[in-house]
Amino acid sequence: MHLKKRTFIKYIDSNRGFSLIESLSAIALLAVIVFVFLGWVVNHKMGLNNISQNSEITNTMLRVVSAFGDEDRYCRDIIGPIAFNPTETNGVQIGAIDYYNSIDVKIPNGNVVKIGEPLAQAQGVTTKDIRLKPSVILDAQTVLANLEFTFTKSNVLGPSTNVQKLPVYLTLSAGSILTCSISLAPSLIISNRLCEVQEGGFSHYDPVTKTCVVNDGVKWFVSTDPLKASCPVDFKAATNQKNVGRNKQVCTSVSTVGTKIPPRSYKNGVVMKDNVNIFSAILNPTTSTCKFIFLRGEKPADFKSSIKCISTKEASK
Amino acid sequence: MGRKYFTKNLRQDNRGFIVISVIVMGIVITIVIASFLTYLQNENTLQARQRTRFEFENLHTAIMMMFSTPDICKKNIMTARFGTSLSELMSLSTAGAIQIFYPASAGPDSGVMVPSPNTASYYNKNQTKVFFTSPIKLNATDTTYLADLTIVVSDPASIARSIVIPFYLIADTTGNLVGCMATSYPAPTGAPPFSTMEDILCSQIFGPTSKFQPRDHVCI
Repeated sequence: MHLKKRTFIKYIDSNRGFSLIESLSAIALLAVIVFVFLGWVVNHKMGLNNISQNSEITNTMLRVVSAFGDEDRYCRDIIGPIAFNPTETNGVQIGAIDYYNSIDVKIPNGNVVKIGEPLAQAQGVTTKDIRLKPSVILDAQTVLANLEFTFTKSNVLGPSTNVQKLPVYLTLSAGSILTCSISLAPSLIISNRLCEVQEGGFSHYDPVTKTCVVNDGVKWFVSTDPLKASCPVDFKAATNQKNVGRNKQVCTSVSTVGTKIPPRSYKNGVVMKDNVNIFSAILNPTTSTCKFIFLRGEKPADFKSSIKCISTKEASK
Repeated sequence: MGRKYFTKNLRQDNRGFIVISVIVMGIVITIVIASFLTYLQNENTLQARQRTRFEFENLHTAIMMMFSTPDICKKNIMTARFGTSLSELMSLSTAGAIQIFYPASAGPDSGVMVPSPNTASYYNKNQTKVFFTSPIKLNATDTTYLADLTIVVSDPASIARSIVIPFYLIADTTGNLVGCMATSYPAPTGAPPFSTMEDILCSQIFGPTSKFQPRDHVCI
């Protein structure tokens, strides 16, 4: 070891030049180093570019979410006019995502993203496709879909694609989009729950009429006897063990002569604003029968009594 | 010896200086390259984490949208992805074998949405945990429960990120699962009993003591 060191120092101390082979070897080594370094620089230039491109794609998706806003009507503005077929696996192409203002008017030059156009803040990224693709058919009118964005990134090695998805909750009517939402709890789900709990679990929200409607198989049966109403064969009272106390959701009686307690106020300050039908009802869930009791002075013959029933076939689902 | 050599070298020629300069340059270049590589790696990790967060939020939204529909949720039970009974649900949870499926008969997408851990899934991320928390019985006289589906994903920086989706679980008297439905905690109270979105609707309509009964979709 000591000998090698001395030899090296002796070599360095001498004034002898480099031989041809040494010089060529050094040049070759230098060339290899330069080649590797340039490759590294190119690769990492691409790496930086790739980071910049990915960052802009993420930012674009955030802008898309902001365009949909926190109100479902923006979603309807953006993709509502599109003809969407939930059985078409490949979905439907959407030309652009635009910003809309508070009165549902498209903002001029308000493209967030548009097919064929490059993203503004990053070089080499183009929007290749925007597509609304069905994912799950929740029921006849309700579909879970994905808004799928395909971006093309170009660099020196060639193009690559980046796909981003955004889940969308859609309701459909006659082949067109009636409502849509990208929010965690779409207002349609909340409206549906409201209808369910208000009507004892036998109603749902209809986005077409924007009202609660009774479920399939649920019907009101009007009795000829104002004191009693029963469900026909193959039907049972539309109730369950938990809401038998809310009899007026199942049993109702309507005056045919308009006899109602009018809006009034009492001395103790209680104000009754609504007209109230003058009856009470007792439901027997076993026999699916409602019995009606009218206040003294009222004529039962002036009333038409009804019971809400569900087909046993529908109830067993 | 070194010092003598160095002074001698300074006197005679620049070779020692060149050798040392090359070594110093080598170190500097190595540090610069290493710093740059670290920067790139961090930037890539940050990007991947942002993307994971975005995709994970979308997964949360998609599960909520899909499983708020009781029929779809029931299909997941019928294919035994949550087990067929409460006890099986808990044993699957402990084993990390809970799965969430797209309902194959109800649309173009089918198959695994959120699988058991450590396999490719919704957006090709790896779940580290998929489980239900212990079900809380909602009513002494009924076999309906509330349990939180928890999905934990380890992001590219190995930092765990989780989503929690409360599920109503409906069992029969023998403990077999007969229905389920995803819900949400719009106003977290911090401790049980939690108020779900449906509980808040019931309390707004029927008074503050009213609670949602998921079996019949009514307020009690």
